[in-house]
Amino acid sequence: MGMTSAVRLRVAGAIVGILSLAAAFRSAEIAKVLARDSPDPYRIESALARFAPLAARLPRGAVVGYLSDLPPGDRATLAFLQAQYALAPCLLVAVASNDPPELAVGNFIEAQNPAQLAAAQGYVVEADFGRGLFLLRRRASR
Amino acid sequence: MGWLSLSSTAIFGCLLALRRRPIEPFEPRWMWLSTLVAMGCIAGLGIGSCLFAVLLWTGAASRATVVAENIGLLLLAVLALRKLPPAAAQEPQRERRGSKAPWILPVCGLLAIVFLLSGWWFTTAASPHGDWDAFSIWNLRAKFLAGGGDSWRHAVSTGLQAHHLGASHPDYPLLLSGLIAQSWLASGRVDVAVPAAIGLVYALALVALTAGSIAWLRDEKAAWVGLLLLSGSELFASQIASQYADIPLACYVLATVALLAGAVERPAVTALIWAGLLAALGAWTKNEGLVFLLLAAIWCGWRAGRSSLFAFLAGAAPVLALVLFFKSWVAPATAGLFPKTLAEAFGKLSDPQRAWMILRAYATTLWELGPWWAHPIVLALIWVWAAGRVEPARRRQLAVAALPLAMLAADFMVYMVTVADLNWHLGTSVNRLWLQVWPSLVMSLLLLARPGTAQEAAPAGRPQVRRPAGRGGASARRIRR
Repeated sequence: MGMTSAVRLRVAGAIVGILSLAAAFRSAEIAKVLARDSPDPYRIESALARFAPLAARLPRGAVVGYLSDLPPGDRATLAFLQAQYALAPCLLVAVASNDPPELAVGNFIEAQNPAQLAAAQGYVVEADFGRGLFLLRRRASR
Repeated sequence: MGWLSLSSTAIFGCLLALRRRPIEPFEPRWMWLSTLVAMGCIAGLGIGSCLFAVLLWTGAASRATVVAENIGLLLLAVLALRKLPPAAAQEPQRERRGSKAPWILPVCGLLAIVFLLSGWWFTTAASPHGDWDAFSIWNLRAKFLAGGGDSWRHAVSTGLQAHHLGASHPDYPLLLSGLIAQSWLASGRVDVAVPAAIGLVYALALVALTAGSIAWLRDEKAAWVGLLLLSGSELFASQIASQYADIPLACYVLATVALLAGAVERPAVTALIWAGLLAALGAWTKNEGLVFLLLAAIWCGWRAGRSSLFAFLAGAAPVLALVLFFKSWVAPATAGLFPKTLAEAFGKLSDPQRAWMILRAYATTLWELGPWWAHPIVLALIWVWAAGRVEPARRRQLAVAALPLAMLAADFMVYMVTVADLNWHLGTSVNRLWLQVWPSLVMSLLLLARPGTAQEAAPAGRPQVRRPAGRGGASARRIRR
């Protein structure tokens, strides 16, 4: 003898309720483990702290050049986006253009001689904030 | 001040929804009210973002003008409050469709919401700036928009792309970034809690809309099932704290789809105007929303008729005008992800390998909607089996399922022709594209289920509330069998 529709609905309701609840619990557990094991995976908080002294030196909303020693790739992209997020509302642009901005940010993670890298792009170091972070100014044209 | 900015726009929308109801009252009354509040809240937030964009483009955006705009919206809300229709208690009682949900469904549903909230809390506490797209697109652009002076132009500058394909998207619409920026500008500081809170509000609105739309179109039991299926989806739960625009877009898509489903049986001008407005706000949220607006307009003209289409377009017109202005004059023409020549496009379209890769990614996303032992599609089908299939007279509503499916088909075509590396493109977006339509698919799946009658499942011997004459519970069960 088959179940009545009412019993069937109750059984189905119990199955859906309990299993969905277990799935929601599992999602919360995954979130908890991820939060514990890899908090702030893109290290935005530390980037904000690192760039804060430099941000204070930039004119608000200015267009600023960006120089880095990292080869193109995921790491370079993340480094650029960290800098851009930390320095907004200033806009970071690549300096390899016809009209390079007056000021630039040097984000040198691995370079041994950052001043040389900056000079190669026509910039001089204006301020060194440590940990590979520099404020650069365009060299006066002769 | 920042929180006042957000709450004033949300309250304005809620009172607008209570004044100009997109949905007429249904039982249970609290689900009707929560649906109106959710619909009004997302409409209000969207309208607030549109007004902020106008302030920016006219050069009038400042702390003072944003506060004045918020006060103006609050005053309008107070006016709407004074002209509210009769209080719910004074309105005639409506027949409840189906019996009350068995206790296990609401208990599990409410606990599932608690788990969603705790998951959001864990993630937000650990990563307050959100996931990748949050700090590289949505919140970054909000910083530009709130930067004062002309710095808002950086949010739509080609320079924002830098040399990184797919980074920052200066051509994306501004609903989410505008909302965040409005709050930051009003408070005068960048508060990371704002985007996190907006994400949570939209997620809760999505839960309320899922349950409410199913309660409206079917019954309370199916509404709780819908809420549980959505809350138990890993796809949804994992994205709440990401601070992306996909959940807001899913809200606008679902609200539109639900209103259009309702219009199939009872076309109401107010509901269609609301549907148009909400669909257009979807277009102001993400580029995919523009595709959805087009599909919804076509669907409306096809299934609901010309007069319904006019009402839909009338609702969409103001926000659509803003979106078109943005796309034509403000946003840069970026290289995008499309091929430059027809030959290149045809070459990609005729490559079966690409189609196979996309199908595989779609299948994987579908499989990963939830754990195998609680897969939401299997659970939905169990419910439909238990409730029985909807009677033929109401199957016309099922045609709304064409909208989320058409969205997935459109996404499929974009993947077919994308100039980006297909593996990368699929890996970084396919689950979120599914998320945009997943709540609408949940609703569509549950529309397959037959709504209960007020008498069914009544415990033997206990009298039913508001039982219509001559339709006893026992006889209803006999008929069903």
